[in-house]
Amino acid sequence: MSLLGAAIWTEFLKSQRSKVPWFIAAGFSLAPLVGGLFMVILKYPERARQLGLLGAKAQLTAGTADWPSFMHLLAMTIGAGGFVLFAFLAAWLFGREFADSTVRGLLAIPTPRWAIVVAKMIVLATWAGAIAAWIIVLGLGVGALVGLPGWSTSVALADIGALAVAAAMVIALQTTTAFVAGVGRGYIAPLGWAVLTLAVAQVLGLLGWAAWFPWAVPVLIVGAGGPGSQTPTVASVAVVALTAAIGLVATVLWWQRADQTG
Amino acid sequence: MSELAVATSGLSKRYQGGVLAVDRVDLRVEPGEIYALLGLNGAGKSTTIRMLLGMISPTAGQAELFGERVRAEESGLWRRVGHLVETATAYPELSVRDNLEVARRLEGVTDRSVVGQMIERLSLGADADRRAGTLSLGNLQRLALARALLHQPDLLILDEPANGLDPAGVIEVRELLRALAQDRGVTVFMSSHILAEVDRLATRVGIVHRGRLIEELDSEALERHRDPRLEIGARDPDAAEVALRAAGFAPNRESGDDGAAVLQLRESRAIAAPDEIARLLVAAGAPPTRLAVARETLEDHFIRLTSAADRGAA
Repeated sequence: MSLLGAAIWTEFLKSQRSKVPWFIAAGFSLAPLVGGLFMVILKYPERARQLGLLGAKAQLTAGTADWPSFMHLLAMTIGAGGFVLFAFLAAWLFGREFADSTVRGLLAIPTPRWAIVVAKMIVLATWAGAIAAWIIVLGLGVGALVGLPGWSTSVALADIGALAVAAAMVIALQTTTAFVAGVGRGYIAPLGWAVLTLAVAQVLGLLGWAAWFPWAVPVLIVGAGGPGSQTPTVASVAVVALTAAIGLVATVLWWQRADQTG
Repeated sequence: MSELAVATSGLSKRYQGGVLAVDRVDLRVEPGEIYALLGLNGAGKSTTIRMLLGMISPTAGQAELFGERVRAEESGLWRRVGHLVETATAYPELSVRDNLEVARRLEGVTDRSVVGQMIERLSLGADADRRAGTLSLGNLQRLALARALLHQPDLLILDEPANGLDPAGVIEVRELLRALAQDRGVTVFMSSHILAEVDRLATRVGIVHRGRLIEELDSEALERHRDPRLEIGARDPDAAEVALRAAGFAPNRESGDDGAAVLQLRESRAIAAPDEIARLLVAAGAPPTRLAVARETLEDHFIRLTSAADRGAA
């Protein structure tokens, strides 16, 4: 087995034995499940009141119980929520090595440091990709179970395609979270970074610059940017790809060059 | 420098903020030696070890292992080096066996049986399938040592290898390291502040203080530097001191373990002839209650040396 292969194997073993990725998957699963529940309430408000799912005086006026509304919710889950939830994964994969000081065992070994970083990125992408795919499948299952109206196979396929592209972008941008986890030597800085980028994306969205801010582009891709939002361009995709590439190179260089005192 | 296991020249590290952690350290460690770096907390031991392992870049000077310059991006060199830096760490969610399996693969060792061999060698059999997060500090240290030894390195760089071990464990690890050096010619470069342990194990000692290597002692020098002295107890220590000074000695007055005054003479004529000192004190009316030639321990020597360095710096 090559040393890169060995690094990938060890990262998968660590993630498999840890509860963290499973908790993240479970946390993510709540979105389509709760979304499905809202759809049921919107569809059958009187029944929901009788069952105690809806307070007597509560009104759920936002949204309608149909496939476009439900797909919009899935889009927000992956395009925006993904930044925070996948950041937990990046923080755990990279930041824990510093928080637990286990990084000492990864620096002066025959497996080069770049291979360790690349292996962690591959494991991150695999886990995050699997979780995103699971959310889409779970969402479609929940929608079908609820019996939402307004299904269109062609529209659904286009939506799923956009969701997949958005998920890929969110995952690719985790390279920057990984870099922050290294520089911050722990869990807190990368999670703070995820919240910060999301907040800035909101502000830039309001100012009309979302198409140029990498962390805002996935939401635009899935058409969940809200009324009047910008349309992503090829340049938007290029900005995301460039930022992800810079994040990867910066992470590798930081692991190779920075003083490791932790 | 190509024949040396460890060689540094002018190795220095100044951290951001101006702290000079290591100051122009020159080390030369021959293959098969057990070299101990002794120093107080913050003396620069761990920074030196991290520079030897490419974890920290020196701000001046350089380090070589087996003639190869240490660089952060270097990875081939580490096939010959096992290490333990500061406190022992392991992946808490993995078992002892899995932690070693991870190390085996990352070290590029193809022989799967080494994991079992290391578990046996470091007496970890009873805990082999326990999660590392539940191990005692001593067993965590054993696991870290097992990981350092797994790929049969030619050089072991160990930061406080006896850390957390019980007395039996300390002896076990000492014998293990001694056997590796004697039987396989493995070079051991270790740091420690447990002076008694260093005294028993090391073939050469380097004393670091405030980032500087202030003294190096080989086994002969270790013996030579253990400054002998004549310790004298007397019922009337004041009278004894006066008599000794009158005879041309320069007694040093210390407190003994029981709080009683102890006079110390370092003059060779006193050490060579304690009976003459006894006769002198009896004649002066201050007969000795105790006369003993004592040798300075490494601990005493270390404290004396570092105190002198502090006084010199002040």
